[in-house]
Amino acid sequence: MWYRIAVCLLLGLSAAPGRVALAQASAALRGVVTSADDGLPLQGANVVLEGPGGAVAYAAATGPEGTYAIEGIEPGRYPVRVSFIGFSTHRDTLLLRPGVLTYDVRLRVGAQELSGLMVEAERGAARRQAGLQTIRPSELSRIPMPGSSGDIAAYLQTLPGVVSGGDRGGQLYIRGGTPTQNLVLVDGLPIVKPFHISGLFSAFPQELVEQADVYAGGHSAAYMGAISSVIDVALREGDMERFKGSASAGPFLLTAHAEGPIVRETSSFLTMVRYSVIEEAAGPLLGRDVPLRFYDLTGRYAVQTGNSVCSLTGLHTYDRGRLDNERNLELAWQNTTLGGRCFIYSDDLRRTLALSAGYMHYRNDAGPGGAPERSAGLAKTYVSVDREMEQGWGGVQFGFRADYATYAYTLDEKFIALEAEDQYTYTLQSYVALEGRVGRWLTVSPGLGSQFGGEFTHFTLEPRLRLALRPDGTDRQELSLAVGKYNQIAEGITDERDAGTVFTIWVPAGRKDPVAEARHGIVGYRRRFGQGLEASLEAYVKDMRNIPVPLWTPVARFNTRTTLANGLAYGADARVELEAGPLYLYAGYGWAKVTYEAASRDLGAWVRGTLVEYSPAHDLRHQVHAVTSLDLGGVTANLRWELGTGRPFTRVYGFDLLLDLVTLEDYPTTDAGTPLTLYDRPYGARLPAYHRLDVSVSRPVRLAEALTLDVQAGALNLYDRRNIFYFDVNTLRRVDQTPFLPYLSLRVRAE
Amino acid sequence: MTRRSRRRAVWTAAALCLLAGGLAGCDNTLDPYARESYFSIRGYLSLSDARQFIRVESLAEPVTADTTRTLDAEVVLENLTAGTREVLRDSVIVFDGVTVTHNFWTDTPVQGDATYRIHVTRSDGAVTRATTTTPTAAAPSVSPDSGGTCLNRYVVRFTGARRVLEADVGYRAGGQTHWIARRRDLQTLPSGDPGLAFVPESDLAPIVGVVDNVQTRPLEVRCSRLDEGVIQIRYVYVSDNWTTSVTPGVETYDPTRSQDIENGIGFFGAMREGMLTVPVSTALYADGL
Repeated sequence: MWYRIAVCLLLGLSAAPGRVALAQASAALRGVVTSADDGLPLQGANVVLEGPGGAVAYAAATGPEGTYAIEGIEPGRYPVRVSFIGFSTHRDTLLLRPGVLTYDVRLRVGAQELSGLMVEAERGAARRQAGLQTIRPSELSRIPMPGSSGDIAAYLQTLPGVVSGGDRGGQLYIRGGTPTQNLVLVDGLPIVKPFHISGLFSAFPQELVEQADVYAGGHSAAYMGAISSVIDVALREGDMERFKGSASAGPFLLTAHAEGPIVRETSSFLTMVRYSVIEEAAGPLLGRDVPLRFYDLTGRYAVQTGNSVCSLTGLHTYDRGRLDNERNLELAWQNTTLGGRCFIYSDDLRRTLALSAGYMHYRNDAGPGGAPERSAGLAKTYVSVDREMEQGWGGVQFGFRADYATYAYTLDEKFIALEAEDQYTYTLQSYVALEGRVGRWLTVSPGLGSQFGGEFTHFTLEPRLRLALRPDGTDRQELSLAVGKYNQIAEGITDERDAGTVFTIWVPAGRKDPVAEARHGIVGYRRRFGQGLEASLEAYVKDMRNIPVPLWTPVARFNTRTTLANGLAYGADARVELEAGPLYLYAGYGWAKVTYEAASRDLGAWVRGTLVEYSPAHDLRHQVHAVTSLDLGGVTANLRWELGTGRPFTRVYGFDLLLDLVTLEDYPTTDAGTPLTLYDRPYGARLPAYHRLDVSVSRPVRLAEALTLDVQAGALNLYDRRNIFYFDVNTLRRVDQTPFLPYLSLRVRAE
Repeated sequence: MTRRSRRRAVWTAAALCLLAGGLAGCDNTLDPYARESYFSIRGYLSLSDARQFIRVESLAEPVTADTTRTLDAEVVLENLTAGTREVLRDSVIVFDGVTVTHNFWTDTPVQGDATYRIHVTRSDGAVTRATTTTPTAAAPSVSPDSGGTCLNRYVVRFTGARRVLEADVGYRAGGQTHWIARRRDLQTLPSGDPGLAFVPESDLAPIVGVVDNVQTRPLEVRCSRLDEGVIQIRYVYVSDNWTTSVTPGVETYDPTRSQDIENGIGFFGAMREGMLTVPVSTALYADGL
């Protein structure tokens, strides 16, 4: 065991190379780009050194804290352009001599011009690359939804390859993976289920988000512990110059947010609370009960000193409701996450040390209202250290993380003896990830991670590789590739046959059980045509092993007994995006196939033969998404349309009263028997296809110098399509998704 | 294929795809029921009982949905061996005020070594059928059949009974019979017949618990106190299809294993009970041990 611990730790430590001196013949430029308006760092800003004729000679995009670095510059005089969407472009001329020049830039808020450079910033190479999609706040607002602002949950559902279980339940399946195979991070803090019970909302509204990196697979070794995908959300810092606030009201949500400096230009706070009023407001609009309730509360404190940026983030979410109005099954879940992170920079900004520590707790319950019969959850305390160093040839990142987790569940259902279990585990994770740049054409990012945990019986080594090839040396087109091995020591168990309950039990892999594993392969091609048109294609495969799946008990009830299955998910996405002045158009198509395979003897009933292959509930074959946003005369109109073919579902075989006649224990006239609802062979049929159009129109109205009223009107499911959510075997009812629902939202902003 | 015709074919395919997608998108129907089966049949024919009850339920209706609902079914019991048919009568029993059960019955005596088929027919013609053959009368024998004591090992041979399900050994003392379940001691004898082996003393020893109905208590009666110097053996033997029917229990229950039910699920078998008396000498215990 100690050998494995040592390997796990040394993998992180031994990767630290000594400081490499820059070649004296070349120059380097580095610095920080911040907003002159609020002093906040700008992530994703473009820093470009122009060559002859204004061509791009050298370029870099700023990182999470607004830092950038360009190495290997041939000494000389260069025009420099620094730009970020929504800000006026900064222009200057620099004389670069051999050595390092630190050049900080403060951008001023400017008109929403869309010069070529702006487009480059918005469509930077890192925005879409082999499984990675980088999401910026401005993109969230393009999705029509009945809140005062956009939300990551709604945006994610416009991406091909992302399948939601319906418009309730907060389940997101990404490219064949299940929700419990996703790793969700907020400011580096893990959070289990930040998606609200109303599927349009998450704990990440536009007001809070600085950026989100969504890896639908192919994530680097810096992300360990998830075999499907990563959603890494960075919250923004509160304004360090001025106090700001907003409050909004609509038929779904009441929100309030406030931010401002604590010590001007040094520290700030950002806080937001959102409380659903769906039960009170949307119910009467629809003429029926909508028993969904949620709220979230987020607070962030940030402080900048000379060489460090630290933040303390706290997040609490609560969800409660019934996915089927008629079914007496209330679901509830809550997350609490609290932690801090510090980035400490070297004087030349070439080295970063990130320290994080925190605590998270998740719990979910299910049962008749007020009396949950099932409870399950996990809690985790962790600490992590990450180092990042820029070198002339690229960079290196390495680190390790230790966590202590407790898992617990209690099942006390009718007809079933009480089941309860408590477990705890320690896990060590470490990784090293390199990024090597070969000229302007190729970026090679190999990495290696390891995990050691689950009662210290499981040890993994996970090599990963990402490549980005730019054939013409510019960002205009890029071929990217990602491959890797991924392991997950703790898994969630949900019986997908019943979409009416999203109750999940988290358990670590058993001492003798193999660890869940996936191998990803992704290849993507992205090309920009002219100034505003971009197209991309991606194909992927995920080969999954040792995935715990619930046994196929014919009786419709939750069970904790699982077996291991292997899964294969593959598919392809195509996306086209046009941004032309006030018009934004996006269309995406995704094709996917997901199959699981398990040994018949392990899976339970309904099977014959040695192996059984089946398509799980998230095997959505075809998806089409379209998003349009038009900004004219201060009025913004957004439109979203989606089409999806039907997902597999499990039909009802029948209803029965089970009598124990074989042992002569029961007799028809003296014993009622055990009432059973029987599932048919799992996933033997498909739901009908669904499609839906959502629209919204919004306009800001200036009420006073620093007071603006945002008025938004819109409708969900504009043509009132009767889209099925699922068929409830308990109530024998077809449960549909949201029908036509008009709304009016108001938001007051003070800034 | 010319370039023009190729382009036309591509557009035609694209149009067909769009049309197919559109049609798929418009189809909003859902059939949530497998509809592979119609009824569940649960019961057995007993040659030892005067009245037979067979429970029949519709698989399409929840058992607790409506206490006033009726069962759309005609239940017929057919004796294929004798060539007779009888429509069974329904007796509705509501358990706990919510669970409605339909238990069809007949007072016609059941014939041994005969094949019975039950037909449950819905008004639309959908039929669920189940078949069983009643056991042939067994001719059990015991060894030793006389002169044995409580220290002897008795072997019962259930000749003619293809499958013995239950066997209890009864000791009568003080006007009361104490039954000890011997299901676990059932075995297949070298002759191929089902059998039972036991030593009375091991049951009568004070340290051995005795099952009397559902209560377990120490046996206070010794061999010498047995009322009539006999041991009784009661047994149940069942139809051949008994073992191939479903195993009860929600964890292992698999309706597809109801292989003797056509278009339905459940269990339909036949059973017969018998009794055997074995003389036992208690003289060895005259000293009151």
